[in-house]
Amino acid sequence: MAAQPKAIPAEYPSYLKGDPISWLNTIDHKRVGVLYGVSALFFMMLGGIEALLIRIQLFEPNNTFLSAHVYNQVFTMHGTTMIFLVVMPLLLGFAANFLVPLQIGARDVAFPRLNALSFWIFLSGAVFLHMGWFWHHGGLPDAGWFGYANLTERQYTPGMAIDFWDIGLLILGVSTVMTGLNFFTTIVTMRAPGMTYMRMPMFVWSILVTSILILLAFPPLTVGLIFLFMDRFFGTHYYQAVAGATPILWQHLFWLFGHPEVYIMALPAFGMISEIIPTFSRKPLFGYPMMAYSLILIAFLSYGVWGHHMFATGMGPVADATFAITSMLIAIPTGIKIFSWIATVWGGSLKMTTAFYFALGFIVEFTIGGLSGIMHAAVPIDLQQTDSYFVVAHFHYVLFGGVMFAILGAFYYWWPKVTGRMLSEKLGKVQFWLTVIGFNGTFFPMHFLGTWGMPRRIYTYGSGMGWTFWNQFETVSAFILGFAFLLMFINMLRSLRDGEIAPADPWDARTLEWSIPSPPPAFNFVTVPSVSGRDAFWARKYGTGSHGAAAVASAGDPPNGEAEAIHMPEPSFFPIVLAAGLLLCGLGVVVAWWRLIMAGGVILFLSIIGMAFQYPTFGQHTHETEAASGGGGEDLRKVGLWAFIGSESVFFATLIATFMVYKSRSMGGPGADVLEIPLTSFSTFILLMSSLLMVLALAATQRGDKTWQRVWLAGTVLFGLIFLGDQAYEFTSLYHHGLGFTTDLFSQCFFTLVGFHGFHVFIGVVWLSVLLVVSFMDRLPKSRALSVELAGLYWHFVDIVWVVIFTLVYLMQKVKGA
Amino acid sequence: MAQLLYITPGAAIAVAALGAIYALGARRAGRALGRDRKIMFGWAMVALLLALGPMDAIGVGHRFFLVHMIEHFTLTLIVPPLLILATPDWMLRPWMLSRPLRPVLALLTKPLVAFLFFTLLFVGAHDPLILDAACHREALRIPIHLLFIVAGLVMWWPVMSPLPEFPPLSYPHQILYVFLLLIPMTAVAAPITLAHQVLYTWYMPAPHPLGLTPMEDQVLGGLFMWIVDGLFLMCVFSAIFFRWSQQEEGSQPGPGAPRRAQLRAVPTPHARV
Repeated sequence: MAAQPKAIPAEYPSYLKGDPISWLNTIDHKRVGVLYGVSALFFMMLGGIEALLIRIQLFEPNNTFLSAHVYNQVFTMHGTTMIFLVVMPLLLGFAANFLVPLQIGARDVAFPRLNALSFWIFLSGAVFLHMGWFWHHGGLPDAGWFGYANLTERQYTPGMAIDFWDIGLLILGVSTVMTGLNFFTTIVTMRAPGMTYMRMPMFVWSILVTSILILLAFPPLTVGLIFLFMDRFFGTHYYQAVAGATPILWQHLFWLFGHPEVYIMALPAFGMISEIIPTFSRKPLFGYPMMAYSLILIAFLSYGVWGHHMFATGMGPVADATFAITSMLIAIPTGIKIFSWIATVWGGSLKMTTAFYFALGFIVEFTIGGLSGIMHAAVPIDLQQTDSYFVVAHFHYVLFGGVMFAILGAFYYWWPKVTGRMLSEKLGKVQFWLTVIGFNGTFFPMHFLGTWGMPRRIYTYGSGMGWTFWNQFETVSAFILGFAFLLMFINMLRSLRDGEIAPADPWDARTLEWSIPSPPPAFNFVTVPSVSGRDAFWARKYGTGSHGAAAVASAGDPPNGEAEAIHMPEPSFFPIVLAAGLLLCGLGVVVAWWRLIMAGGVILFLSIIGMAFQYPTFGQHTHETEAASGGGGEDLRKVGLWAFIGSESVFFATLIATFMVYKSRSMGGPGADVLEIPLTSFSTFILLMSSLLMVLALAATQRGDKTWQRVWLAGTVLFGLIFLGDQAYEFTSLYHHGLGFTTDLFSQCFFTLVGFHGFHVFIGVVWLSVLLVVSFMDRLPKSRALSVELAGLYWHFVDIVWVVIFTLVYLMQKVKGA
Repeated sequence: MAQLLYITPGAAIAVAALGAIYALGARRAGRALGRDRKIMFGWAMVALLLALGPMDAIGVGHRFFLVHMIEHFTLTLIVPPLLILATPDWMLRPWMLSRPLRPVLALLTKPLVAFLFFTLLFVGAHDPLILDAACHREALRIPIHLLFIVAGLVMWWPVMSPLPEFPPLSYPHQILYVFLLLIPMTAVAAPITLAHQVLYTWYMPAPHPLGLTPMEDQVLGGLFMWIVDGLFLMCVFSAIFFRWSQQEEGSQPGPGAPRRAQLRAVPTPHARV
């Protein structure tokens, strides 16, 4: 299934052209982006309706419009939808997908099929979250978007709703991590020649940092959700005090993810604003290095602040003080950004477009949200404000006043590039003012209500509380806000039907995406541009005078016929099939119908195998990106695998940390005494030897020695299998010694950790077996040594993890026991 | 107060040996060290003396956990970078490239190996079992502390290497490397800070020199490691970032923009090119 090189047609058809079926198997980053965008807009309507339902319910005291139970579902789904199904897909799925390759001068992302897979998995996860609707015992999730343990445990929330929530978020997490990995690799390896990191547009910078945040922040959430899954399905006690565990563990894991998540949503918004403001101020971004630096600094600090969500859990004064200090520190890099934006506007010759309106609105509203954020960092104030409407006001100023304003600005800014049509500026400005009025009217009074003691998440309130007027005020404002969004949809539809045709560069902008037609052709750039300074397109238009850097890029449109042949990867139906298999599998688990799990599993397995063999490496060597790699010179698959290993390390670190914390709290049960050191030492030896064989297999491949390549690969697989056999024997023998999966806290942590490692060994064995098959098909010559090297990297990683587990779980426990 | 001037024989021997090696290395190469390097080396020796002398005496002998953690901080994050800064490439080259050492060093200075080596040692040495044992027996503690310096040298090498034969990482990779170092630091510091009981039996029998309870002392120690080590790493990668951005700014062709140009807007053009 190799792509055929095709000559460039004389006229470049826009990426939007094509029959409807071609949207289902597309792997074009722009089309995947549009798919994300359309889905997210749909969920935005859904989440918006949920918000209005909340406001109707709170319009008057003792309202009975929604029951308490339904209200819980509505506010839970409002939060979950807006964060996971609206803001993240709009920022990363839509904006980053569409813009990053265009801004760095690439023809697609690093792994186009993985990108399509991300989308379809995202969609199946989104559908999955809502599936409870269709079941009699279902209903929507109702434990809040943060799903605090132990409310989410089976005995406190029976029914399927939380199962759908738990597995739905796991599926969404898979999709997000794949997206993060993809963007990280794209930006590191596929920048146009001459585009160094310090010449990247600020939006690309923000996506680079966000990708790193995603890779390192999602594993704790995944682990937390897996624990919850085990509690609900297998009867473990990860979050139950009865077994010596603590529900606070969930909060640590969730907020260790949750606070970086705030910046996963905010940084791309910062990046968008940093593109819009210079364009309409007609000046370069003020303090470019500081802007990039503050992004990194925010990312760095965001890992040390999760505790400020937990001041009320009683961590003690010292831990509280720590988190207060680190949280306040974040104000510094954020302040740098605010002042740099203002300095960019200052003295500019401003073009007051709708996009610029929203960007300026962003600065004002986000600063208000930032200020109340600093208030929360102060522990005594926070203890008063926790779980009150003041918090609701704060995060809506950050997420709506900040992120949503940026998204709306970006929407007006990039819409012509995406669709090839202009939006109505007049309607846009009406929408802006209605948004400002509606937004502030809805959320500013929440500061007052919170200060007066109105708690969040209550479904109604008494008439004597004095909260009625402002609640009614907010509800009216919320409808104004809803109307503003309605205007946006009208504007979109009008533009699509008979909007003015957009030129390639309607705003006289600065970055490369404006150097190509609107909408762009499928392959983006006829010739890959070369870059020699910041604001590459601006420099091409105006020469050196703008900011001193002589940045002359190559011509964008060479005469027809002279262009090089462009290789684009083939479309694929496997992503959508794979995602459907995943959906069926998850559904089967929740409704406990084994046949459905089997069916889903078979589809999943077959489509993964299908994808593996469709990959051009095993066919003809046609990946178009090779030509375009102006970045680090590293192979993109290697960079991608390293990113994956980084993410996996955090996953195992979280599992190991949980084990270390919980083993000493374990009550009853045989504990570590029944672990067998001699047997495991043998396993460890076998696994280390297999790593050695792997090195030899790679060396044989690099020599082009087929015989030894097969021998060493087969040896590695065999040793891996021996290790797995040992582990199976060990687990059985432990079970007979009375150490079952749910016996005590020690055993459940032990089996989860060691079992997940075993699963990774299994994946490695499958991977190496595929390579072995390919080798016997004579399709693993010297030139494909990289395929063996990648499998080897993964294999060594799994071995290193085992050495750590063996030391901490087996040896140390024994020493202590002695 | 006398403790502040307390110099252990071990510390004195370590400093004397290092100083002799340093001087001999310079003599044998027959080249001048320069004032800056000598000052760096002097500071490294002062830090080393303080760490192995008074800090160790107070932190372990007087059971002051916070000071013990400051000692670890000095040994891993202060002394090694100073030593690397003080040592010119020509002094290192003869023995680092020598026959038996070269392959070992080539492996150890690989960023991933260096990272893992440091992480495992750092995490392992703070395990209650090992730390307690080290407090009880000086024969165990001194090697561990010396190993801290070695691990620190290995850990800092990918960021500061003066030898092109074992080159440093590129600037963006250096930033990522320092960023990732935060993970083992937090993984050690957070459990110590947030623990609900005294983890290290050595520190249980108060009286504490300042009258703190063992619990308070432990929290302070964990906190020091978390905040100060974290801020230190932050400063390091900030320095790397600005060196990087300056280098790239410098590499841009053209005369270089005057600072004020950033404050001036470009007027709307008459015609587009």
